[in-house]
Amino acid sequence: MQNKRDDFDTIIINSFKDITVSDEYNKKLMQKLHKKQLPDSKRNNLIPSYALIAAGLLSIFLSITSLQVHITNFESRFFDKAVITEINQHSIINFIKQLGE
Amino acid sequence: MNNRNSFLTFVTACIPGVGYMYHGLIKKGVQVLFLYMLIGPILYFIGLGFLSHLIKICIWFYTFFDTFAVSNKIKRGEYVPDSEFIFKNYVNTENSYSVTPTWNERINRQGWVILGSFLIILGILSILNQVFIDSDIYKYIRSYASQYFIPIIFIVIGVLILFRKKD
Repeated sequence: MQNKRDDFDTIIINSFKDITVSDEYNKKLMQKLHKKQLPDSKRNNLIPSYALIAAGLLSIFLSITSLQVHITNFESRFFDKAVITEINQHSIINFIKQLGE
Repeated sequence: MNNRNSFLTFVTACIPGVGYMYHGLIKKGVQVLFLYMLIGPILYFIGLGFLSHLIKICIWFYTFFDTFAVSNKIKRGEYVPDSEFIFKNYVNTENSYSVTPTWNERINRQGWVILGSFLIILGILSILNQVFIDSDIYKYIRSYASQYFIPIIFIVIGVLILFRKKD
């Protein structure tokens, strides 16, 4: 067991000497602790602002990239394929029916 | 109110109003859902259909973020009242104990003024739209307004609200 202070202990003890706690320490600490819990009036302002910014950005993104047009094109291409497949299927069925007659 | 599943909160938040209903705010949820569903047909009916997607996107994002805010409040143990969605700040509190309050009793003067102003603006826009409907320049302006001008105004208003918060 160590009975005498060594260099390491003196460094630790001396490190406390220059610390001065400001008068506003508690106030700042409480502000930091309650930073996430803003008052209701301020918290309620955040959501409309985020919503407006996000809506604006999305609208601009949609108009720049013309994403709606691409989706419509994809949809129409898909429906074209479906109609063609249906027509082919009907013609095959009719052909088989004609063979049967 | 019990804590709700986070994944289901996300899924329900994607449908405007359903997230509120999932958290027990039935009145608010139904109001939002009706507003979201009716805003398109009403605006198309009066000839302002080009504005519907912008308003719908705004409502969607607002309800999406607000659902998570409500969820967090409930998780923290706060009481979240099932308040009105549109006239939340314009409802008379002194008549709340009346058994069957009329609309005139329920909504205060400021609420009626805002509603009246909104309808007047909507009417003027609708008339202007009908008057200039054949003009190519008007169509050009309308297209650019709905594509770029109004979204930029949204962003500016959003940023202004954010900065006002920090004061």
